[in-house]
Amino acid sequence: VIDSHVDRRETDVASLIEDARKALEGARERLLESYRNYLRLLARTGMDAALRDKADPSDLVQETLLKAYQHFGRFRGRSEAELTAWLRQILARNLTDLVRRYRVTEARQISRERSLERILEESSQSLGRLIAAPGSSPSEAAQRGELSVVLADALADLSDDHREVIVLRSLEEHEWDEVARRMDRSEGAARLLWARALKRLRPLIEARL
Amino acid sequence: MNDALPSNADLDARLVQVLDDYLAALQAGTAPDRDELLARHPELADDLNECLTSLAFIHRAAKPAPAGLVAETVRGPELEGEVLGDYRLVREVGRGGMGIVYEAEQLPRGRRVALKVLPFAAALDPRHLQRFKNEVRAAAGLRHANIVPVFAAGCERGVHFYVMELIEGQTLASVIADLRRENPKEARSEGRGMRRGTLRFPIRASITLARRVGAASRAAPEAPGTGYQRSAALWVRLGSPDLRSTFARSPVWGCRRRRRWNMLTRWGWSTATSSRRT
Repeated sequence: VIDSHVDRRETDVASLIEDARKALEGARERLLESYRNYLRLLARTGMDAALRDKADPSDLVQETLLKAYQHFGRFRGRSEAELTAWLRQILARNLTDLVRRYRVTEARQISRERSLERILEESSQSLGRLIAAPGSSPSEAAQRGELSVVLADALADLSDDHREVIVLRSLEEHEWDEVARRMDRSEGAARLLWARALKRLRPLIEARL
Repeated sequence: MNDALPSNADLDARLVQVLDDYLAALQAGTAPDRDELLARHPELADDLNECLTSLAFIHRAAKPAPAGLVAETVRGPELEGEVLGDYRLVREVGRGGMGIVYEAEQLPRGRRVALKVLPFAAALDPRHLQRFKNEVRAAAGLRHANIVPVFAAGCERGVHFYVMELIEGQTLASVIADLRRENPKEARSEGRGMRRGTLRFPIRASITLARRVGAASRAAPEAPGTGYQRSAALWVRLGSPDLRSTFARSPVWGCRRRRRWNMLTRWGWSTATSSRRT
């Protein structure tokens, strides 16, 4: 199922990229909009909780899409894998700018609990590790790139709690006590929530394949 | 919640446990056969099946790339023959954790240089990029006959690179291997020098270049060991992610010099990774 989906999607996206390059009416918007959930998931995992208090991941995504829209002429690729790599690069740059901005602010208020530097450290770690990872061959990379877009879309349709527990446990791979602490629940409750979330997720994935 | 999971708390707990074990196995790369797992827990079958599908999909979509594969995105045909700024990449001469080195031609002058490129994927990670920049800065600030000089650095179409002198020769590792084959006694002296303290650094042979000198070596490659400069060009790779292990693995570094070793590592490490006051 997954492989045939990948083939179909590859042609769809390639022709949409072609349209967007020719600046056909609305093609660029449609193309970039379909990566909003993907970028939001990246921004969400790229910004840790302390940073998310200060800035909304959605704003970061909005900024990223806007820049991508304005500078679409600079994008040279033809495949979805190249497009997602390009979008990630813009996002990473925005994220770095954001952290730098807050680091300046932070320097003025010395008594902060955690240094923003550490936040950047952790953020970029998960950002780099989680999805910026190309595969061992170009086709595998393309496939994984596409699958993470599908995953991000499916996760976006879950309830906030369900999405959060899957991100914390299955993507960021935190230990259960840490997941429980971040979600402000008991460990048992968090684990149960995770199982429910996985069960809910399956039809959402299948609907997109 | 009105999910159709068994209300029985015991079943729930077991389901979570099985899923957790499966996730751990996936992460370890030893996922058990799904049908077998389902058969082993018939009481959980439906829920387990759905949850396993989700888990496997998440894992497939987001699993991190194995180390070393990151460089693949800029490998081979994509960059060979390409022009980056003033440089045309001719061929790949080597790759490591921090980048890929190409032989390149400086277009206006036709000069041959070595060009080190940060893999595209690594440039996405601000820490890698910072390390790469630190490496360029540190290397450009060093001037010594035995350190490969840096000529220039730049970024072209999102590809970060810097330009070094091209050393015609081979890595110390292969020189040592040659020496060992031809003349076992000669090769051992390298290790002895280290033990006697005449060599100040533990040299990592695979990143150390031996420059070919004199016509004799070119004319008589069958006599290795005579043609190579004794003090091999030491290629300082500050900021390499495996810097710590490079030094930590060195077997010949004795306790007496522990203090110097620490200083070296700390200096190298903090220079390479500090982004505190940039």
